[in-house]
Amino acid sequence: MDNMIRLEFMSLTQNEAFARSVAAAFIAPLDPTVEELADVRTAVSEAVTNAIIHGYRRRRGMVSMLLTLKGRLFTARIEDKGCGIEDIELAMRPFYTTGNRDERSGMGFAVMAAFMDGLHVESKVGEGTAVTMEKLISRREEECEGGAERESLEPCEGCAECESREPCEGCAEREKSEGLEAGAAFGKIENG
Amino acid sequence: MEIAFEVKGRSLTVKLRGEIDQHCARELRSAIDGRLHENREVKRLVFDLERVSFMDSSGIGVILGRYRLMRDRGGETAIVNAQKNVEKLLRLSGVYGLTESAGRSRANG
Ligand SMILES: Nc1ncnc2c1ncn2[C@@H]1O[C@H](COP(=O)(O)OP(=O)(O)OP(=O)(O)O)[C@@H](O)[C@H]1O
Ligand SMILES: [Mg+2]
Repeated sequence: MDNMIRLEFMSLTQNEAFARSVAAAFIAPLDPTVEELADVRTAVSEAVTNAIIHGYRRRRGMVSMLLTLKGRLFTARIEDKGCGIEDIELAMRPFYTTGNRDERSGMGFAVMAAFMDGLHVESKVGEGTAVTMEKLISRREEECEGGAERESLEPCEGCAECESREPCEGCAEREKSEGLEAGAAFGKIENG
Repeated sequence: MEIAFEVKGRSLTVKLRGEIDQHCARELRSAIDGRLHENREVKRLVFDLERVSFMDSSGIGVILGRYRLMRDRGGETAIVNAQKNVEKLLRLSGVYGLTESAGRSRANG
C-alpha cells in the first residue's frame, strides 16, 4: 500500500500534538505494534519541536511535514525555513544543545535515531532544516502459517524454499539441521 | 496535561496526567518550581508518571532540570510508574541512571 500526505502548520507548540497524531493515524492501517506507534509519535514530536523552538525560535513560520508509505516503509520529512544548523554532526550528538541547560537535554536527535530505522538531516544556515526519518513497520504474524499462501514480502526462509504444503514443519526441520551444522562447526573450532 | 501535588513530610510527589511535550513544559516547570520554592524542606521529589501516555525529550528536560534543583538542595529525585513507551525514553536518555536507585527505595521515603 502506497500513500502520501503533506501537512503545513504554523510554528506553534500546540501543533505538536496534532502533528504526531496525524503521523500515528497515517500508519494505523498497517496495524503497527503499540511500541512502533509510540516510537513514531515520539520521533515526529522531536523533529516538529525542534523546527518550532530552534528553527524559528521567537519568529513565526510554517513547518511542513511530508509523510509517505511505500509498502511497509514509513517516511516522515519535517522541514522548516528557519535559522538552519551550522554543524549538523555536532548538533546530532547526544546531550548537545544550544538551548537552556535547565530546559533542554539535547536528546532529541538521539531519540529520533533510536526510535526510527533511519535518520537524515539536511540544513543550511539562514535557509532552514529538513529532517527525514524512516521506519519499517513490522508484520504482526510471528509464526509462519500457511507460508507460501500468505502475501508476505518475507515469508520465513524455509517456506520460500521448501515446496511442502505445510512449510512450517519443513522450517522446523531445517532449523534443526542448521543448528546441528552450526554446533558441529563450533565443535570443530573448539577441538581444532 | 494535568498536574497534582502531594506533600508527605519532606517528600513532594508530582502526579502527571496526559501528554508531556514542549507545549506544556513551561507550565510544568513553573508549577513544580513554585512548589519547591514554597516547600524549602522538601528533600525528595517524586515524579509519578502512571497516567502519562506520551512524553518526548521536552519532558526529559523538565525532569533533568528539577533533578538539578533537588541536587543543589541536597535532595533526590525519583521517577515511578512510567508506562512502557515513556520508560523506553527515560532509559535511552539516561535519566534513570540519575534517579532509578532513588525510585527503587521508594518505601524508605
Ligand atoms: N530545526 C532546527 N533548526 C535549527 N537548529 C536545530 C534544529 N533542530 C535541531 N537544532 C539544533 O540541534 C541541537 C540539538 O537538537 P536536539 O533535539 O538533539 O536537542 P535539543 O532540542 O537541544 O534538546 P531536547 O530535544 O532534548 O529538548 C539543538 O539544540 C539546536 O541547536
Ligand atoms: Mg530537540
